[in-house]
Formats: sequence, structure tokens, C-alpha cells
Amino acid sequence: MITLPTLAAGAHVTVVVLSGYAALLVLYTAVMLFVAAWEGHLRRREQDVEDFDRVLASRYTIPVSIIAPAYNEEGMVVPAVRSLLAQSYPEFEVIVVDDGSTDATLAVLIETFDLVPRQVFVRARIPAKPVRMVYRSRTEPRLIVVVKENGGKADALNCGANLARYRYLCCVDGDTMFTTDALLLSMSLIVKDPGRIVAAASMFGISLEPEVAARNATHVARLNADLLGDFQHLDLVRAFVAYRMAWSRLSCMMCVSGGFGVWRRDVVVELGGFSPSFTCEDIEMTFRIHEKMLREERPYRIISLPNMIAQTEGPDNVRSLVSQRARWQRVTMETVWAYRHMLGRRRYAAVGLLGLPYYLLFECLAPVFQVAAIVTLVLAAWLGMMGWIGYLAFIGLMTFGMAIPTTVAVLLHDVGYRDYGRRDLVRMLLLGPLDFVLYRPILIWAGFVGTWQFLRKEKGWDKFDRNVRRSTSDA
Amino acid sequence: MIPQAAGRSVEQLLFLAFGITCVLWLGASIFVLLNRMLYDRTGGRLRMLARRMTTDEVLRLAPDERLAAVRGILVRLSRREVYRVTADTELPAWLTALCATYSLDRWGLAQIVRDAASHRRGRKWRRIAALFTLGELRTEGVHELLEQAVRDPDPDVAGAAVTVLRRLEDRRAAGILITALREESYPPSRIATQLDQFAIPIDDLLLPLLADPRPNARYWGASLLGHYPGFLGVAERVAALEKDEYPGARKTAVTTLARMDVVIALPVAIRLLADPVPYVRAAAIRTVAARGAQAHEESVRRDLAARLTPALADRDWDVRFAAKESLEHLGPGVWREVAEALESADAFARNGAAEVLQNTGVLDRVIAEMGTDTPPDALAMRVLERALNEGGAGMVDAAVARRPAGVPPALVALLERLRFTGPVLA
Repeated sequence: MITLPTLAAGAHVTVVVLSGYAALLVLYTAVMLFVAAWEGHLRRREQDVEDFDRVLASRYTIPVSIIAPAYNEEGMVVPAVRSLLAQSYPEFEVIVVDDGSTDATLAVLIETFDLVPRQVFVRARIPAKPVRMVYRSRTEPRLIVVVKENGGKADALNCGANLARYRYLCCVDGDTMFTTDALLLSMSLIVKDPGRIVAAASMFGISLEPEVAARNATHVARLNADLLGDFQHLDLVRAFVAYRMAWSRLSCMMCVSGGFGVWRRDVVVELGGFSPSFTCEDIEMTFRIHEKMLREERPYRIISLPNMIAQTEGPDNVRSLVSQRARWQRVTMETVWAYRHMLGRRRYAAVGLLGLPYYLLFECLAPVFQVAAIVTLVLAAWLGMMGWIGYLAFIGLMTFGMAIPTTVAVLLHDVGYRDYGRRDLVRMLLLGPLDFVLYRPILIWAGFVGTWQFLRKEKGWDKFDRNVRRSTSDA
Repeated sequence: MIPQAAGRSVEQLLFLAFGITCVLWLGASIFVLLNRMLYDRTGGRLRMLARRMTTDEVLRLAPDERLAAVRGILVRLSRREVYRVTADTELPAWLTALCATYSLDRWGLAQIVRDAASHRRGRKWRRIAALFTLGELRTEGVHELLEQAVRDPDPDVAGAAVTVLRRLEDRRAAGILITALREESYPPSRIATQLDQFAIPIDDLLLPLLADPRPNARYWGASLLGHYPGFLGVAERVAALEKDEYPGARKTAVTTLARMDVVIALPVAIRLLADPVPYVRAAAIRTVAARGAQAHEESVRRDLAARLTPALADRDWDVRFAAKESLEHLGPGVWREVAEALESADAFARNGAAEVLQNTGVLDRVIAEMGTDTPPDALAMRVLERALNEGGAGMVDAAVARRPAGVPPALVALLERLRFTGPVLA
């Protein structure tokens, strides 16, 4: 039988373990913020002196194949494709891969871009589900639309890669709106070291209506007028500005996001393409490149750019958000489990010693520690180990402690781009402390659900329903 | 027993930690806002400067008097801010020029040169800004500083020097860039980007690159000379690279000649169709097609198409792909030559030819004629049959989908003969 002293002793041990965990997280976050600030500063100064006009006018710019998989995206695919075709970049093509949509995705594309069907023979260097038809546009020669059997996003990307003509693949989501300089900013950095840079990620924001954000011609960023959307946006800003920039500097950039990632095609082909056996293809491909390059001791770099180059749609309700974040948790666990042999091994350099341990401790195991913290807190209060003041102090500590990385991320972003008005800036700063009490519980629950799904080996995508548009204006 | 004392000390610790994080968060948030206000203040000053510079009163002044008119605004900016504005490529030229002149006036040439020559760690961005300032002012000795900078192991310093050298737009700057290109002290494509956009002719400086022992130098030399098609002897010197041992140089030679739009491009390209290196053959194919597409006589285009069609069966995929695109580029008039490949022993050549005939509209035209009073001749029907057979069900489906007017009975009969099944025959 469990006695009170046993419980108390157990709670003590748990407190010590959790404190160690929290201290490690604080230390890691502090180091990452410092490195991210340094990297962000360097990248911004680089961009200040970069002669973008000359790059734009140059015939030596590396052409890019943009691949945009779309599955049941009838509402977003047209504005997304338009934003891709509007790129200020000398030479590129846009390959939209309709992954067997069951809605009117193809029909709206045919009507908008005056598509005509063509039979195209391609070299299938990467296995992918059969192509049903290829469409070329009568009005936009840079656009190709491929209709194939449904096989998931990884399969659609592989299909697009088989059709791509150029050396670099820019893999994007078919529901994301891009700024016109997205490709230029990404490639201007890659072109400085094309022999070694094999992949590049960039930052994107969350919007409940990204197509409206894209129509904003003032180049002044706006927050959503919605708390959930803003929390998600802040979450991504924190992840990109504070962590990915640091990982990029420390040569352990662990995830080139599926929302926008530039990959060198020869590397993708050499690795056999994106893997459909994982829930998400982006993080797995990043891990796979690290694994192969480091194992074979080949020179390479995976970088992250500091720029916010796109707006993607985030869920506008808690249920969809939990579903999405559970999927992210699941894929992180799948990938870390698949590449666990890299963990802590010097052969895998910063990836094995820094990046992977982060993912294991602070992503995969986070739900365990978070649930343990909640149980311990309840137990401590029940056992009288902690009074109300202590309890409130703990909540306050967590609330403001977790707001600090957000505040630093907001600072780094603002110093770099100055694209938010002061009012939005204040709003973001105030949202920081609220994150812990209003938003974090949702993520904790999602992490728990994702972990459960991973243990049950679930693989579904669980695409969330499109948000109801509040804007009445039409493009 | 519940350790009450330990609990109290934990509480105190938590309370202290809460207080510290609270202050830290508040401090960080205030810093964010203050930082923004300072930035907005600088921005406000620059806007004020812009307004003042465009007033009639200032516009009437001589250029050197304008600085005096706006000095009152500039004096409120720090050296760091002035330098940063000077080096910002996004800002208008008049502003960077004004800031450069002001820097010279306020801090003196010696200080700016010291900054530009500094190799101290942590002073990199000041050095870069000083280089931009000196470049803007075109001061004596700037070339030497930029020559050093372009060789700097730091890519940011070297990259900035490359940009400033292009802005100088003089022959000495071009010479430094060409040397850097030969030595590859900075990514050559970035240097070539700047050299390619020089407003003054530098063909004589580029020509020696063609004889450089370094293969990449020959490659870049040939590529950049594409800018000078009418210059005496340039095309011939580039054409001589068709026999270069480095395939990259051979490829660039043929693409440059095509870009120059010179007569010699075609014979060189035709000879390189047999090059052992696939990417050279692919470049030659595209050049032949580019020249052919300009030809007014259909006989010329057909002759060139006959030379390209065998490439549909090339052993390398990229060459076959280039052949497909090039034959499409030559237009529907070369359909007979393309149709030859439908009889090839190589399956890729056959379906490649079918694809070309589809994309040039030849198949659609024949199908359209099937429903009219003047049906296509036997050869056209034979080509259609072979193309659909090689193109397979996908090509048939696409052809039918492209005909909203419906499928002519003759096509249905043809498809039945070819044993196609599918919605069209249902």
C-alpha cells in the first residue's frame, strides 16, 4: 500500500528530476537564443548589402522548379499558385501535383489557367504513384499541373521531382501564400555556396486567411484578430527565429519545413526521394540527409533563412489544432525513433550531439515531463508540500519564464524586419505570458495525443477543414 | 512525515524565481518597444531628410550646397547609422551618395580609410560600410582596398567588394573582378553576375580568359563574352573553344555563340552534336534549334530537324529531353522529320516523337481534319496512328480531352483498330 511518506518521497524525486529537466531546457533555450540572435544579425546585414537588383537581372541565377502538392485544395490552390507564379525570380517553373483530389481542385485550375491535357513521358527516377494526366497552361508557360493517383504528400513531391527540369526543387504546400521575393531571398544565399548547401528552409507565418494577408500591398504585417491564430503565429516565429536560426548556425538544422523548403534535386534523387512511410516527409528527409552526409563524411550544409516568406493557414478551432499538432508530435517521434542510432554519436557531430538530443528530450519526451509536472503539482498541493503562495509563484514562474523566449523571438524578428506596427508588437508581447495558461495546455494535450498515436503506429494525415472566411472581399 | 521546512524553502525559491522572471520579461518587453521607437526615430529623420531634399529650395542649390542644407538632420544620426544607410543597397542612390559625402565631411577620409582597411574581428560590417562609402566617393586608393577585400577569406567582405567594384564601373575595377574570377576567391557566378552588367565594354579584358590554363576561367570568359556579339574577332575566339579539352568550355562556347546570334553558331553546334559529353550535346541541340527557329525557309528547319531527330534515341536522358524540346521549338512544319523517329527501334525515341507531335499540335490538326470534307492524307493518318500507338492510352485520352467538339467517327474507328479501350469508345 502507498503511504503518504512514500508519496511525498516520490513527489520529491519527481520535483528534482523535473527541476533538472527545466534547468536543462532553460540553459538550452538561452544558448539557442544567443546563437539565433547572432545568426539573425549576420543574415540581416548580409541582406542589407546584397545587390538583389543585380541578382534579379542576372542570367547566372540558378533556375528552380517549384513543386506544390495539392489535395482537395479547391479553395486555396488558385491564390497559392498565383502567388508562386508572381515570384520575382528570373527563371522558374511551377509544378502543381494534384494528388488525386476528390473535390474541384483540378477543375478550378483548368478554368483559371486555361489548362490543356498532354501526355508527357518522364524519367521516373524516384518511385511514385502513376500519373493520370499532365496539363500545360495556354496562358502561363511556366505552369505544369500533374494529376496522379492519391499517394500522400511525399509521393506527390516525388512525382513532381520526376517532372522537374531544374537543379533545385522548392517544395511548398499547395495552400500557402508566398511573398514575391521568397525564391529570390532563398536562392541568393544558396548561390553563394551551391556546392555545399543541399537544403534551405525559411520562416512562414500563420494566418487564418492567408490569401487576405497576401493581398495586403502595404508590406506591413498584421496579426490575426483571433487569439488562437496569433498564438500559432507566435509559436512559429519562436520556433523559426529562436531555434532554427541557431540550428542553422550550429550545423544541426533538423527540419526543413514542408511549407517552404529548397532542396538540391541530385541529393533528393540520390536518397531515393521523399519517404511515404512516414507521416510527414520534411523532417524525415532532413534527418536522412544529415545521416548520409555525415556517415559518408561529405561536405554539406542545411541552412535556415531569417525571412518570413509566406503565410499558411492555421486551424481556427482547438479540435483541428490538436489534430494538427498531434500529427507533428507523431512524426517527430517516428523520425527520432528511426534515426535513434545517431543519438550521442560523435560521428554525427552537432546533429547527434545537439539536435537529436533536443528533439528527444524537449519534443518527444516533453509530454511525459509535462504530465509528470501537472501530476506532481497536484500531488504537492494535496500533500500540503506547497502552499497557495508557492503554487501561484510556480504558475507565475512558468508563465513569465516561458514568455521570455517569445519576447526575445519577437525582438529578433522586429530588429530584422520592422514589419509589424507598434500596436501588434505590444499585442505579441502581451500574448507571451498568456501562452502558458491559454495555449500551452492545448499543445500539451496534443503532444499527449500524438504520443499515443505514435505508440499505436497510426499514420493518418488528419487534414483540418478549411477555416470559415470572415473576409467578404474577393480577390 | 511531510517535510514542511523544505516545502517552505522551495516556496521561497519559487517566489524569488517568479520575481526574477517577471522582471526579466518586463525588461525584455520594454527593450523591444524602446528599440522600435529608436528605429522609428531614425526612420523619421530619414523621411524628414527625403522631404527636405525634394523641396524646391534645396533642389535649386548646387549639389555641394545641398549637404549644408540638410546637415542639421544628418548630424543627429550616429556614425553607425550613417554607415549603415550608405551600405544599404535597397535605399535610393541619392541618399547613399548624400550619406557618403556627409561621412567624408564629418569623420574625414583618413578615418573612413582606416575603417575600410581594418581586419579586426567584430569590425567587419564597419569595414564593409566604409568600402561602400569610399566606392560612392570614388576616392583615390579605393581600388587597392577593394582588391584586398575581394580576396578576403570572409565571404561577406569579398561579396561587398564585388558589389562596390561593379558600382565603380571602370576598367580597373573590371580588371580586379576578372582576376578574382580567375582565382575564384569568391563564387565565380556572383562575380560574373556583376561583370555581366558592366555598362562599359570590357571585351578586351575578358578575351585573355579564353586562353587561361584554368578551365573555369575559360568557361566564364566565354560566357561573359556573349555580351559582345558585334565586337571584332570575339565570336571567332569563342568558337575556337569547341575543341577545348574541358567540356564546360565547349558547352559555353556553343551557348554563347547562340546568344551572340552569329552565323558561326550553327556549324559549331552541328559539330558538337557528336560530342562525347551529354551536356555538351544537349547544349548543341538547343543551339541548333534556336538557330533553326529563326530561319525563314522551312527547308532549313526541316534539314536541322532531321539532324536533331536521332537525338531522341540518345543514350542520355537529358539529351533526349533537349531534343524533344528543341524539335518542339522548330514548330509543326518539321513533323515529317520527327515522324521518322516513330519507326525507331528505341522505345524512348518513339514515344518522344509522339510527344513532340502532340505538343506541336500536329495530332490535333490531323484529328480535326478527320471530321471535315478534306480528310488527311494517308501519310498523316499513318503518323497519327503510329503516334497514338506509341503515346498510349494517356495520349489518346489527352487528345480526346482537348476536343470539346467531340470525337470524329474516323478517330473512333482508328482507336478500335488500335484496340484502345476507355471512355472515348464507350
